[in-house]
Amino acid sequence: MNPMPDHWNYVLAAYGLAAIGLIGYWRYLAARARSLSQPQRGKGRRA
Amino acid sequence: MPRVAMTRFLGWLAVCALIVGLAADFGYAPREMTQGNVQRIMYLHVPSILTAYLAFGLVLLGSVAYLLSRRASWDHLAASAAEIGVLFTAITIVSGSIWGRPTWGVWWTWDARLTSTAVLLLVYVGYLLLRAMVDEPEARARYAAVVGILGAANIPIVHFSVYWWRALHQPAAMLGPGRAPMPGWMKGIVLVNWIAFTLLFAYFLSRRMQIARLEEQA
Repeated sequence: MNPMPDHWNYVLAAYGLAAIGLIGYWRYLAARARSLSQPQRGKGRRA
Repeated sequence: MPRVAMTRFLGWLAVCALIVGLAADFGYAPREMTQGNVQRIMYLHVPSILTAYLAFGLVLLGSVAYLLSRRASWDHLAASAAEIGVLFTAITIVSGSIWGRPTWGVWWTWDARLTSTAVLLLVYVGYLLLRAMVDEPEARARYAAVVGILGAANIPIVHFSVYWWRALHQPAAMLGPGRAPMPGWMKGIVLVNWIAFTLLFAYFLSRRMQIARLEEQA
């Protein structure tokens, strides 16, 4: 007996969207940290 | 261990834990008898909201500590935790909605648990918007701390809404007043994923707080 179909597409959508959100936030943090540390490095080189 | 190396170590630890979690979700966990494979979304959905609770709990801690001490580091903690908490709450709502469509037949319903979670998300999105609107750092931290403290009142409402009102949503899978409505092995998989998400949260928090310190110096 199989009361409910498998719905793998829903499972993949949920995990896929979560992965996009988490990886997207990780990339945002990396980009933000880079943009904030670059001018300081530039100042260091000039000095 | 230096702070950057510690953060990196935490990141790799989170990646390893997430891999173990995924292996448990798709390799170890059998197909659930009633719901089928769609039940595997619970291994993502439940740890996400528990991590969001932790994040908003830290917003409360940071907010209270800031108002008492006026130290910027507490404000950094609150702001960073709020941002990550919003991310995990959004994952909870989206994954729950995707689970609801094949199980309940609807993407969304104005059930007490769903509505209170949506309000929780909106409160902390409002918290972040407030921070973006106020330029003066001390005023921003003070106003945000008040919202951070008031917003935390919603956490028990979300968690206990399934007991306080007649709800379509099932009882709390973890941290509920009674026994968890699932077998021990299922609870174990949720726990593994919860640990993985908590490590990921700690990694994000550490990085976000480093950014907050850099923003203050800039």
